[in-house]
Amino acid sequence: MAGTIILRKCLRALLTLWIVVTLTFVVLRSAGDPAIIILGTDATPAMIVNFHHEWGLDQPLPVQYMRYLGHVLHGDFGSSFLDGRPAVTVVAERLPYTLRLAGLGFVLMLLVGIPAGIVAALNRGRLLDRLVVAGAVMGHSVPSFFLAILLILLFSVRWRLLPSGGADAPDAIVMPALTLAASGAGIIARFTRVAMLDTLRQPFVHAVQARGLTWRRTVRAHVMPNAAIPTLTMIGLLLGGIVAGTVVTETVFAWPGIGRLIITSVARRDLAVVQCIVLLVASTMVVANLTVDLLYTVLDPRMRAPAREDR
Amino acid sequence: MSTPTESGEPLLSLKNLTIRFHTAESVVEAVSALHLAVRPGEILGLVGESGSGKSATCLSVVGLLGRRAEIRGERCFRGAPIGDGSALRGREIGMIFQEPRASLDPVRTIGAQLREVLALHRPELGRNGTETEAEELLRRVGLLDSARQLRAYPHEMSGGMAQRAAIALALAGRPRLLLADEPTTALDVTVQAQVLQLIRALRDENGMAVVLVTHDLGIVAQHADRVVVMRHGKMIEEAPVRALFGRPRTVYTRELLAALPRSGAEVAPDAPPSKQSLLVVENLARHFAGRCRLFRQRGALLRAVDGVSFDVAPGETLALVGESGSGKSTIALAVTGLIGASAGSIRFAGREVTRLDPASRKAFRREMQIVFQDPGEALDPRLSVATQVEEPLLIHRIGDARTRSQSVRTTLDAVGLGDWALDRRPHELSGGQRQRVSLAPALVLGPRMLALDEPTSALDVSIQAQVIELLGRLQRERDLAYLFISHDLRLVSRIAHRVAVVYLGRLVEIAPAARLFGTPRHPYTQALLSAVPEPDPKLRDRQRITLAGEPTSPTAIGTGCRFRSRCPIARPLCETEDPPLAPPPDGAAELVACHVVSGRA
Repeated sequence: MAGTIILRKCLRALLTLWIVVTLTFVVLRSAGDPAIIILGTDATPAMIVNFHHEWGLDQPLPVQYMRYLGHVLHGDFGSSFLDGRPAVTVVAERLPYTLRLAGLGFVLMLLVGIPAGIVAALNRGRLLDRLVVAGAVMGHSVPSFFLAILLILLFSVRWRLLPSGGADAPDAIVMPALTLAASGAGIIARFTRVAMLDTLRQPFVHAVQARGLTWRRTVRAHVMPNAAIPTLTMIGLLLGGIVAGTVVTETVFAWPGIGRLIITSVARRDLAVVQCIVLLVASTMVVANLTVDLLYTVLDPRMRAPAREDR
Repeated sequence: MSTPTESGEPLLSLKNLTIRFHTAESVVEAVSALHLAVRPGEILGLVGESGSGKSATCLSVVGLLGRRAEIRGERCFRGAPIGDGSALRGREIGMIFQEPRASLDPVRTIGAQLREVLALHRPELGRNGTETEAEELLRRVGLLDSARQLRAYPHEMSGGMAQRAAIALALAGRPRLLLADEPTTALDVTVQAQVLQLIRALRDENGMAVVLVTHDLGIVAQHADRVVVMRHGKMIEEAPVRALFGRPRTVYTRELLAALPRSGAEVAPDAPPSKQSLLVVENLARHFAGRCRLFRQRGALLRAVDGVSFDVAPGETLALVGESGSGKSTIALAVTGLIGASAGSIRFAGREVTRLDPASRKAFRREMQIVFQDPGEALDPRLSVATQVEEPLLIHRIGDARTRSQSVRTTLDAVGLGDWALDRRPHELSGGQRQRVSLAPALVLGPRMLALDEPTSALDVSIQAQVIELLGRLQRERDLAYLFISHDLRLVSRIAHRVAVVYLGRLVEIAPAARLFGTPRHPYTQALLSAVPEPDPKLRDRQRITLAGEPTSPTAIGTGCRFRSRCPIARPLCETEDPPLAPPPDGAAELVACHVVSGRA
C-alpha cells in the first residue's frame, strides 16, 4: 500500500515537471526574438534567417516543442545561443556555488529557527519569547537586498572583516549565507513557536504528565514530535524556494551561482540556459515537496495507509 | 457490591482548598475553601455544572493547573503533603480525561506509550516483563486482541477503545487513586455503560479509590458510593449516594435533580391530533463515496443513511435517537436540503424537496429551518445579535427596515431575550442565551418546521431544561413541527411525541414516545434504554442489557441485520436477511425492524 502511494506521488511530481517545461517553452518563445538580441539590431535579414535556421527557430512551434521535449528526455537541454556550449555545462559550472550557498543558508535557517521557536514557546509571554518573536519578524520582513547592503556596509566597508563579494576567499560565503537564511529563519521560528504552542494546548500533554512523565520528557518525547508535523510543511516550502531565493543574494554579493546566471541569461534571451535553470528550480521545488510528503508519513501515522476496517 | 470502609485514614484529604487563576485583567476564584476527603477503595462522585471547579480540584491534586493558578490550603495524600504533585503522578494517582483519543499522543502507538510509562514506574520488570505487562494491562481493560492493540495508533481506535487504553495507561503504575474527569462524556451511551462498569470492576478487584468527576447525576447515582455536589467552586452538599438522591438537603441539589429528565417517568406531552403529514420521507438514502483523488481508486462507500422512511405532522415532535455515526445528523441535513439525497423522496407540504428549482428551494428554506448543536460555532462571533437575526429577512427580502427591526424584537422576545441582547455579540452571552439566540434566526422567518440537531448537548442540565421548555412553548404557540435529533434518551422523553431509533443508517424502531420508553421492542432500543444511567440509586442493581463492542463501520455493512453482531438475541436468519421495518405481530401502532420480534425467526 505504502509503495503505491509513493509511486503515485512520484508520477504526480513528473507531471508537474512536464507542465513546467511546457510553460517555460511557451513563455520564452513568445517573449521576443533571440536572434535580434544576440546579433544586435544591426544584423542583416540574412544573418537572422541564418541564425533561425541554425537553431531550428524557423520550424513551426509544435515541431520545436516536440524536438525540445525529445532532447530533454535524453538529458540534452540544448546549447547556449551565446557561445554554443551545452546549456547543461554552463549551468553545471555555476551549480556548485549555488549548492554551497543554498545548503549553508538552509542549515543556518534550521539551526537558528527551530531552537528559537521551541525556546520561545516554552517561555511563552516572557521576555525571551518577545525577543525571539521580535527578531523573527525583523528577520523575515527586512528585504534581503537591504540586509545585504547593510552587512556589506558594516562588515566590509566599516570594519573590513569580510570580502564584499565574489567567491574567491573562503570567508566570502558568510554574508551571502546569512542574508539568504535571515528571512527563512524568522519564518521557521514563528512557525515552530505556533506549532509548539498548539501542541502544548492539546489534552494529551496533560494526560502524559498525569502519567508521571517529567516536563522535560513530555516536551521531548511527545510535544516536539507532534509540533514537527506542521513545521515540516513550512520548511518544505522554504526548501523548495531556496534556489529561486538566491537570485537577489547572488546578485548583490557577486556570487557566481545559478541566481546570477539566470539574470544574465534572461537578459540575453539565452533560451536553452534559461529553460535549463527554470527546470532546475522547478525540480528543487518538486523534490522538496516530495521529500516533505514522504517525511510526513514517517512523522505522522495518520498520513499512512488507512486503517483496516475490521474492528 | 462492596461498600467501602466508612472509617479509616483518608487517602486524599483537601482542607480549605482555594484555587485562583490570575489573568492579565482579573483574578478568577475557581475553587473556594473546599474540604474533601477520599477514602481508600471508595468511588466518590464529584458533580457540578460547568464552571463549578470540579476539574480544577482534580488537576490541583496532581499539580497540573499551570503557572497562572494560585493554590492555597492543605492537600495531603496518605497523610503527607502533596507539594507540586509530580511525585504522585502515575505512581500513586492515575488520571483519565474526557476526550479519550485526545488524551493519547497521536503519533505513537499504544504499545510505545504503555512501555514508556511502565519503564518509568516499574523499571524492575525489565524488557520482557514490560512487554508481557503491557499486554496484560490491555487485557484487563477489556482490549482482548491486546497484541494487535499494542501496535495500534490512537486514530485507529474507536472512542471506547481509546478510553480503555487510557485507563490501562493510568493503571500502569498501580495507583491507589484514579481521578476520572468526565471519562464517558464523549462516548455513546452503550459504550459509556461498558467503560463505567470497567472502572467499577477495577475498583472492586484492586481496592483502588476513584474520584468520578461528572456533570451527569445519572452516572453518579449508578456508580458512586458517596457524592459531593459543587457549584461556583464551593461544596454545596456531601452525602452517601442513596441519602443524596433520597433526601437532598439543599435547594440546589433538589433543583438539579428536578431539572433532570428521567426516561419513562416523565410522560411525553400528548400527541397532537393527527393531521395530514407536513414532512414525508420515503426510503431516503445518502451515501458518501470514499475520498476520490487523482490517481486514486474510489474508496469504500459510506452508507450514512440507507433507506429511511418517516413522517412528521404539524405541531408534532419526532425524535431521531441514535449513537454517533448512526446517520441521524445526515438525515437532518438531507431533510432540510443542505445536502442532496442519493435516493428516496422527501416531500414537504406535498412538494418534492429533492428536485427543487432555485426559487422554490428558497421558498422551502423559509418554511424549514435547522438549528445546530453548538451555538458558539453556529453564530458568527463578529456580528451583533440583531444583525444575525435580521439576516434571514434580508436574504428573503422581507419587509423594510422598520418592520424587520420589529420582527427581530418580537422574535428575541419569543425566545425569552429582551432588547438588551440586540447589540451584544455571541461571546458576551452565556451558553443558554447563545442557544436562544441561535434559535432566533430560524424562527424569524416564521417556519413551519425546525430540524434541531442536538440543540442542548452543549448545555448544562438546568439550562437544558429551560431550552426544552422554550421549545415546547414555541411549538404550542406556532404549531411548529420538530425533527429533534439527540443521543440523549432522557432528554427525548421530555419533548418527543414519537421516537425513531436509528442504527447504522436505518430505523430499527419507530413508536409513540410513551410506548417506546415503556415497552421498547427492538433489542437495540432495549439496550439503549438499559444503558442510560438513571438518576436513581435504587435502580443500581437492576438487570442490565449490556451490548458488547461498538457499531460496525458504516463502510463495512454486510448482508443481513446491521445490529446482529451486537445483538443478544440474533438468530441464523439475521445473518442473511435484512429485517424490514414492519408492525409487530400484535398490530400495535409502532414499527420494528427485527426478525425475532416479528416472529419470523
